[in-house]
Amino acid sequence: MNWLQQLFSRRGQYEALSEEIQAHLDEKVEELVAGGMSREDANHVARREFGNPALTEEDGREVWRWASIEDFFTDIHHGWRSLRHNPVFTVVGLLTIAIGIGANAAVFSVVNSVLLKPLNYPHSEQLVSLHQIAPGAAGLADFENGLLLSGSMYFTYAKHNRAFQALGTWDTGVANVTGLAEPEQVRGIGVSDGLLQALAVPPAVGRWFTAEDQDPHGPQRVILSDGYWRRHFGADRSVIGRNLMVDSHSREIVGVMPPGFRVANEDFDVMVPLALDRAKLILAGFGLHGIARLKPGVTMAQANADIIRMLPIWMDSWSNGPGSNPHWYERWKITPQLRPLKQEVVGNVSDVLWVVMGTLGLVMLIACANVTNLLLVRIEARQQELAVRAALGAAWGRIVRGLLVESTMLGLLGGALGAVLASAGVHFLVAMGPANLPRLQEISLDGRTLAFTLILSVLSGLLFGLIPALKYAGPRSSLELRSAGRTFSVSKERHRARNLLVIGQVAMALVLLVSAGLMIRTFQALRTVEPGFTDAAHLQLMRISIPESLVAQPEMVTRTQNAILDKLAAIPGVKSVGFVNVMPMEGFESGWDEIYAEDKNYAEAIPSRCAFSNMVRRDFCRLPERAWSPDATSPGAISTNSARW
Amino acid sequence: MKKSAQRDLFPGALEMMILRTLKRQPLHGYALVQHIKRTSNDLLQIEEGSLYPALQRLLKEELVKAEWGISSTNRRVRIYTLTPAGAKRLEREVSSFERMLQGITQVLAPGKA
Repeated sequence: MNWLQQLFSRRGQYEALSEEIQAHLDEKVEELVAGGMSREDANHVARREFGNPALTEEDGREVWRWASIEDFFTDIHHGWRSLRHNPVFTVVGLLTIAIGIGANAAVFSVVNSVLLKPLNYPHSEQLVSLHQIAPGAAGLADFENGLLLSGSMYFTYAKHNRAFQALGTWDTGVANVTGLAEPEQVRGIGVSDGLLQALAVPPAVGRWFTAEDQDPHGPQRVILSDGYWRRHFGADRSVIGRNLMVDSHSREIVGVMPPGFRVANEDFDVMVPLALDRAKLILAGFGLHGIARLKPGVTMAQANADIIRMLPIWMDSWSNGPGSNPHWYERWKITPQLRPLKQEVVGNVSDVLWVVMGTLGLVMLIACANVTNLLLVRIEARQQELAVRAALGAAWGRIVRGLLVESTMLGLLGGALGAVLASAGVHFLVAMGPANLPRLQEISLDGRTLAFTLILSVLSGLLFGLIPALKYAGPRSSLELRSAGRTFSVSKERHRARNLLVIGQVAMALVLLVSAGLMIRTFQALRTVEPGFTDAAHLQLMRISIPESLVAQPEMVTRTQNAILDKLAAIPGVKSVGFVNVMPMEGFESGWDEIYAEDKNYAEAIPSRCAFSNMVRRDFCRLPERAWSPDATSPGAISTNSARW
Repeated sequence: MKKSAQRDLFPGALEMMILRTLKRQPLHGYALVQHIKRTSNDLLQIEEGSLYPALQRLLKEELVKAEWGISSTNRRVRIYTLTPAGAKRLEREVSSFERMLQGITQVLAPGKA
């Protein structure tokens, strides 16, 4: 008979027992009467020889009772009653815990979704970002993205590597989709062959791009994201084979990716093949992000070595044009620093998140200290009750357990409330959508977060219950019966626990205050950084991209841009308009050009004259006060950052 | 903790006697207690009721099992039978009891100390 059956058969056992005892007495009486005794005497004797039937029954039942569990339920019942009878204490305690646990659970769900969960690709641990640095490139390539891949690099790596199952590159951009309803600017992403194969996420409908789709002169194809497909085609599966006008090229829709699919951290609406033209590629043009899937068993170090092996092949196979020295790049000391794709996606946000998590841990401790203090005060009022219970023979372990059950219930209720708060907080965060938080769409309260909340609730419940329980329900509490009844003066010793708590709380609060102050100061300092332009409130930003296919000749570009500028300037309230390639403070996109001074002779083309260039048109420099010299508006003039020359 | 039945017996003695008795034949509660009393020539002062908690313990440990049946005096009674586990337990208890008894006897034996 296992314990579960016992639990259910218990009632049957009890009934059998009482019936049996009755039968026993009856049989005894019958026998005595048969022996010639009067029935009254027989009853009496039977009772005497049997002992106390009620006590016997009780003892018999005791055997079947599952003492600890039943006492536990009694404790819960008591705890619940005690919480209900002190609504003010309960509400204050609950709110304190709920806020503490809620904040922790919310941040944990972010930490869990962003940092702990693997990326949304099959065997995502095999995925690496082809990150490389070029310490010899004198500040050209040592920023966050390192040295991106050039098209020729991609072809070299894809052909000659031994370490990867699949390897591909990607780049983002905007695309204009016309011909559906209103023309729309959408987020586009260009991918090379091998990228989808490396990420290995099957399409929801249709197929991936094949090598054939990468032919720059072949038929043009496009893959849609799930969101775009739903918005514009109502999730119609027959969309495959239809045509979409992307940047005024008609492209055949060949597939739809599943919901939540992203390339690294890049969301997109339409995906097109990069369709790199081998014939036009040179060594340079470092603008592609690379992703590869390691072969099973290949380590990061082996993969790095593989890239190092391929770099000379790259320089031998391609050139920067006649007269240039392909091995010139040796000076750049290009070094592969492959890293897990997850690290690339998460970036440096992990430090920040752990700091926030730690900070909220302190907040939680303070909340616990607060509730402990509340419990200490309350338990002093309950001295009499506890002393009476102890005097009536309650084991002090039992009393401690009762108090712990009560505080754990408080913790659990607070935790449940906290989970609700956390859920609201996470929804708010996702809705707010901070730009620099990767994997934002993946953030949710999942099982792991709930488990974390549960553990936190129980632990905090035990933590703030243990101190008062041990302090007041100890073996000496029977002594308090006298003193607690008569006087309410609080001894120094009783004060000590509360004093310690207050000291701890103030110390932790001070740490938090100082950290918060430092952060606010950093934020303020950031606000006063000179952005290079003034009156930001009156600047409006608008992004356009003119498809190359629409404006074949350079003059057409100028004319189209001028027409756009004129129309914008004609809008009432617009004072001036201008074009720029990259906005101030927007970071560097790789717009690289070689710049030569007219009056100097150069022995060879020196790509170190490469500069990050930014195209500026018309009134742009009237907008920023000082970043660019005014003569940049005349055609053919350039202005440079003085530090470089 | 007062198990009045065991005031004069050492813990487990009653259970041991029950198991031994049931080994001979299955019995119901009343017959069981009568048998024990009779066999001990009424030397053991057992409250008849104390048998029942002991039986419950044995039931719980699955050393005996109980089934409703009809007694020789035509009563509906619960008849207890020894289980194989109970037989094994009895063997162990008896041998350890005998060793204990031997020890006590040697200590108590006059002249030898």
